[in-house]
Amino acid sequence: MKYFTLKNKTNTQLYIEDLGISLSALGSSAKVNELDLQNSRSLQEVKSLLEISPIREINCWPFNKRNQELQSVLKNKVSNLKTHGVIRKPDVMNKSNVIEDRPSELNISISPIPDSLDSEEMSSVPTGKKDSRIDELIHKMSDLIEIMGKNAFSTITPRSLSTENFISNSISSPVGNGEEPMFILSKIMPEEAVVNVTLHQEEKIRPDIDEASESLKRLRHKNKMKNKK
Amino acid sequence: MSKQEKDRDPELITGVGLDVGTMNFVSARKIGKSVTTSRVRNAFLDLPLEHKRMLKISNTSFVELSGKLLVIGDEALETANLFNKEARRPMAGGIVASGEIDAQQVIGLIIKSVLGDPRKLGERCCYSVPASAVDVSGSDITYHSRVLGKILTEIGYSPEPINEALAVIFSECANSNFSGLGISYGSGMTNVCLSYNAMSALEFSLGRGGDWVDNGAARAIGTTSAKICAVKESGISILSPEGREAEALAVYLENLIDYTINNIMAHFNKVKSNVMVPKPIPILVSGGTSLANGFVEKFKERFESLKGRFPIPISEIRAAHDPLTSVATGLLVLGQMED
Repeated sequence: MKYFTLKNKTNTQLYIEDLGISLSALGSSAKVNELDLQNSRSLQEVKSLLEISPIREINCWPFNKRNQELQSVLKNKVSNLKTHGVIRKPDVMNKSNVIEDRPSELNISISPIPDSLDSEEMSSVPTGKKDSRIDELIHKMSDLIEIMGKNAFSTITPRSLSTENFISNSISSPVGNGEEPMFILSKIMPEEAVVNVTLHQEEKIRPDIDEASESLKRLRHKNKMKNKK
Repeated sequence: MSKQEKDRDPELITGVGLDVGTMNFVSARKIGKSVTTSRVRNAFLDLPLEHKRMLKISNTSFVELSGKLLVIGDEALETANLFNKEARRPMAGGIVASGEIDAQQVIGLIIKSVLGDPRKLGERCCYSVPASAVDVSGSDITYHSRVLGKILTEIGYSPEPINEALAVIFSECANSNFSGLGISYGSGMTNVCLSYNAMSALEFSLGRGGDWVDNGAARAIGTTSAKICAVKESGISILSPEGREAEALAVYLENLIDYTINNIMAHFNKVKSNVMVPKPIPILVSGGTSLANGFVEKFKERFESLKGRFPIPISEIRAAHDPLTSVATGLLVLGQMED
């Protein structure tokens, strides 16, 4: 299994596992450049993809019950990310609705990829804010990939904001072969935060716990052997 | 490492269990021959920075985070009363609360407090996770489980998620070869697991638990859930309730028992062609919501009323040794098992 390690300036990391997904980047010409991570020939393409922000749509294939159910999970995640995400239904994939939804930083739709997007919408974020937007993008992408799971969706369509290279020198070579990706979510524990919480503690003599551990170990071994046969 | 060596130096015993509950976090750790459980309320209160002095004067511990003061655990409830505010809960319905933007960090702080530092880097920590709820649309625990795993990794543990109701079996059913039907009545949800020879054959959860009981009882008699919860925790009898609050609670607790039994029957019937239970197994009733006096007796009464229609052969119905800590203890059984 191959996946890529992506690091940005603030050391945020994203491992894109070999998800069997393809990522599509929309350039200023509104042409769709498909990047298939499974057969990625160029890391430059991944880099280009991450230069664009914010995520414009996440299109889930196929449009089935499972993907519909994912909407509620995504909604929760979107609110956690402090964005104003809009989960749109497949039938609203037209330009007027896209413009109406502009206050959202993260629009998620469960629908086939649109043929084109309004080119006027391609750039709206001031240059100075772009670095933080890239961070956000990486977080969002990693979180969303994690939430939706392997093979749950096929296409992420972000919008191009600039050709400027925000994350130069930030992408390492593909790493690992069969290794588990270590990092998906951003760091949670606050730095150096110590709090004295009142604990209700109780101490009990429980020799049965050791015995239970031992018999559980024996039983699991037995089950394992049985399964091998 | 031999058992004698471990007995001589308790620090050598590694592995810890962590029950992640909507209402309480409980850890269990072996120290010498005894098991120490630590429990803390899963709640927090955020206050503006100007209250720092007042908190210091009242000797309330707090943490300063993102320009706010956070009071965590049991003290959050006490302090909330002082400031006429309501304590917040980082979890709802058995999982990380989606609407609480501070939830993950607060959970991280609580976990760190209740577990302490690992005895060695990468110490095994088995933590409880619910099963997906069969009666909640779109129920999914993937994200919840990964967030907890991430927190534990950041603290220095090697996390391993284990079904909450299966942990009850590990804690209470060594004598029956870890076969049994474990039911964990939590605050946010009720978890069920049918285990045979330590293997989970059926697991699911229900979106009803102690909070559902409190809310229902509060609505019924026109009071607040917090008041009802306080009455419940002060100790009520489900068999002979006294007062309006206790009566309302008894009605909803009984309803919860019926709901659980009916769901077990319905879901077991769906999988019975794949699951063989040749010998009668015990039912283990656990969790904070089952602490009401007479809860297990009522469970037995409702079970008996089925007159043998229950699809699994049952040897006995009993309460866990300590319903508040049995999940954590069961996780410890697994956590201290050397691979």
